[in-house]
Amino acid sequence: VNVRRSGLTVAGCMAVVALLAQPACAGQQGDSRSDPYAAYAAGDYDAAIRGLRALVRANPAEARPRRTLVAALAEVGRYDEAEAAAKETDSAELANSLGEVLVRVGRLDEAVVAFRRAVAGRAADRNTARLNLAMLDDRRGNTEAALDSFDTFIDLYNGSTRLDARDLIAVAEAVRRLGVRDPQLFKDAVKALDEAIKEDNVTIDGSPAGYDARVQMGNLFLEKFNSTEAQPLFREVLEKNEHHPGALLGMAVAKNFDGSAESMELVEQSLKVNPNDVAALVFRARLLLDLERPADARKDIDTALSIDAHSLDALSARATMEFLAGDDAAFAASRREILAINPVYADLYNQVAELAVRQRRYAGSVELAAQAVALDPRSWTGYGILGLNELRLGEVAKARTDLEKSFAGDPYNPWIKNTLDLLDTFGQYRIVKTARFELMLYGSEADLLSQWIGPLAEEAFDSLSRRYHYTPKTPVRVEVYPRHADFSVRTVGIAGLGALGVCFGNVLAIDSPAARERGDFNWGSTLWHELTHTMTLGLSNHRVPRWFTEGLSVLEERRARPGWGDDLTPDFIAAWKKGDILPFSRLNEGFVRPKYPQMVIFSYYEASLVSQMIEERHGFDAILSMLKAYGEGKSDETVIQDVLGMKPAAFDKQFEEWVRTRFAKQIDAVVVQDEGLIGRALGAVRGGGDRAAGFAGDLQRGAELVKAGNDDEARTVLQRARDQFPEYVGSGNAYVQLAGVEERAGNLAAAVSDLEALAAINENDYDANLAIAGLRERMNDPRGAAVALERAIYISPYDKALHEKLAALHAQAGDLQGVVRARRALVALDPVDKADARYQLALALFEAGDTAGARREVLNALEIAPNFERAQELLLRIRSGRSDEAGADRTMQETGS
Amino acid sequence: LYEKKKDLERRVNELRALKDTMDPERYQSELEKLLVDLSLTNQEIHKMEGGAP
Repeated sequence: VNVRRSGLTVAGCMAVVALLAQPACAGQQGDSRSDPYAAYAAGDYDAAIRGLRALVRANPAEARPRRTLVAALAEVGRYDEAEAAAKETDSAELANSLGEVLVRVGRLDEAVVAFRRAVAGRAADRNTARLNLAMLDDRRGNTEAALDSFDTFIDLYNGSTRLDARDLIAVAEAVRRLGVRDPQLFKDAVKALDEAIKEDNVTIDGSPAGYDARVQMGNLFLEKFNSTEAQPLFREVLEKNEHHPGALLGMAVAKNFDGSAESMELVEQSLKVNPNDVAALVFRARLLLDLERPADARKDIDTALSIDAHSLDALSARATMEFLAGDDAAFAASRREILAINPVYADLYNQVAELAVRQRRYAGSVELAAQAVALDPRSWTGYGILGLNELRLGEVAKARTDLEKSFAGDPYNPWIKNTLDLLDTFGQYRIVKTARFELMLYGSEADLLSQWIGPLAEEAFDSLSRRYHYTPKTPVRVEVYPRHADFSVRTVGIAGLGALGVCFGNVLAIDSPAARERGDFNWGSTLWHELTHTMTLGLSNHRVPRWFTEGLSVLEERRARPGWGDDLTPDFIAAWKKGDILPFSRLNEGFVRPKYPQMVIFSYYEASLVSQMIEERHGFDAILSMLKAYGEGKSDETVIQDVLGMKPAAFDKQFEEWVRTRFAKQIDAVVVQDEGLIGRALGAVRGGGDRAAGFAGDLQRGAELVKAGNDDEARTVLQRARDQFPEYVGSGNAYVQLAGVEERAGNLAAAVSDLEALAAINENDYDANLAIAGLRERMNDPRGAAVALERAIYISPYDKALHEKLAALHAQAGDLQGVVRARRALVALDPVDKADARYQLALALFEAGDTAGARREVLNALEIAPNFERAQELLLRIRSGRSDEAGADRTMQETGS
Repeated sequence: LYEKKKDLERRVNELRALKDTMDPERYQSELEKLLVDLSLTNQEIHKMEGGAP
């Protein structure tokens, strides 16, 4: 038994929280104008290099200034000069520095020679050189040899009374990499870095020890999905050296982790300091691929490979692009090239798989991750990707097995942990099957929701299949989550996702109406939206760009029912007028890297307008042709050119003109205010603030007139407000105020008309639908009233009184199936008098001609209350209607038992 | 008839207690038989008492 498996034994691990409270990097700063070391520490690289060159000239035999010069030159990407400076001496003290420069440019064999010279010559940084040799072994796929070498650093730590900061950083990196064997060792890496940071008042040559240790620890936290603890570490370094390329890159990665658009800006700052940093170039390329800008990404990857032709990261990024473009031959060639460098480099597949997921290629990511774990059975990331995406494809049992393997190897991944926890709740759900769907519904709401979800899903399937000439593979699985956090975990592995639904192809997940406040969303339109993705993803072989699949989904919502789908808002027009709406050619950025919170919502709406314009101008066949072309791996530019016959820039212009023409009236109506139009308008409606301009001003005047009891004048003003911006259905809208005016005047039909117009725009206005139902009932129109209440069910189906009312209205209108539906809902809503609810349902079924169903339900009622007389009477009526069948039942029982 | 009704009520209760241990179809069929008998018995009681059936 090797007792070292427990890791580092020296006591005194400092809590990270306490550590972070210390002043950052204190003590090493001098006057950067005269002290080149201080200039280096402060990020004044030009001054540092000038000063260090002078020091080297003055003291050619001294190692420290030369090592610092090499480090400074390397940090800003002047690799040739760094190499030359390191080679000006034969001293072993410069050999490790030389090796590190050579690694940066991919000259690995020469680097090995240099590192060995540092070790043999017992240079001060020989332990770092040993680490570098082991890392090169690792990079070349000599994994076991590398791990054995890393293991010796535990001996180094445990056998030393005191290690300097440089050695502690080497120990940390070694045990971090050993974490693949034993995940507990990650904690030891943190412990070693803690101790290195305690050495803050020392420098490793000219570089403050705290910088490297903090950046390394930040990266370690990011590797373990902890951006919250990573960011302060990078920030502390940047407070001392705002140009530190490693800290800037680390912060960029952390911001990307948080989904912030700042990520791009930060990596660009890092590349400004060191334009030849392969890691930063590859990271920016990945951001660009996320934005679906492959041509720009390709430039960065080519630059990275021109610096280090053997960079596994850069080669993997290139392979990713080739895979996503469907260039199988190029992908295979890149794969051969990578595996020739490192035959067990599973991260090739993992990296491609992760980006494939971001571009909705879930089946592809499963195939890739399977190859990753076949190549390296310790690829815990690979098992994680495999499991998460098997789940996205609906393969629940396989997913659980692979996620458990991933978690056992790396228990720090919150995505995996959360998803396993979620899987533990799947027993609380029920599977309800329809002709083409498998609905996974939470037990307590399954009976209620299945009545509407099933028929709506089937209707959408038929309608969309006809329109898109595409029939998805069935069954399509729809998972409906009553807790938004569970939906979010199901979708992205963590809580906090803002979306309402997600489509993985043939598996959809949506929030149940219970997951949000009533009026927050319409679950019916959400389901329709997600099912549209099933069509567009399927037709394009999952290659449709984000803008187009979202645009078509919103467009189809609008076609499905009046009111469904996003509509024009004054906020959108205000953003348009301020230039905050992206042109079509950059629309994907609005989804992937929104620059302000509303940009995502605006991008959905804009994408729907683009899709609508294409359909209007070129016909729906053009949309089908575009989906097919994307499926063949063509870019936006090619597709727009080939199908629509124009360049993206011309298309941008055409779209802008289309919007200007179509919404000319609304553009005129909106006056952009610095403090926000709607806030100002509402403030005005509530009686405060200055008189707002445009339609908002009319809304304000209308409200004042209503308050003063001057309904006639209010009507005129409010109608004018409505006509200026008919799509405005937010708080204080003209429709509700006008309906009030008309109702008070006894014009019920006009009031209904106003509210119907509102409901035809706003899919979430529950109260408007209830008000319509009330008015229509007063107008002796039970059918119309029922239609409004059925519409409200897609907003929230949980109100028992609504279903009671619906049952009565359907009965009045002679809609027997409607009565059954309402009665079923009441049974599902856990009524106080369960026997009566069951009896009412039995009665409705009997009257609708479903004798078998009626018999089942009346027995359910009598099982609860055996002497319930009305139920007894119904049972006897049912029996008398089918005496022959009952006789046959009895005969079978008698002979069979 | 009252005795019969009481007996049927007792049998319904006993059957309900056995629900989880029985084949669902058999349970349903026996329950229906008992409930029909109970309903008919109640109907007769009402008739004899001069109430509505």
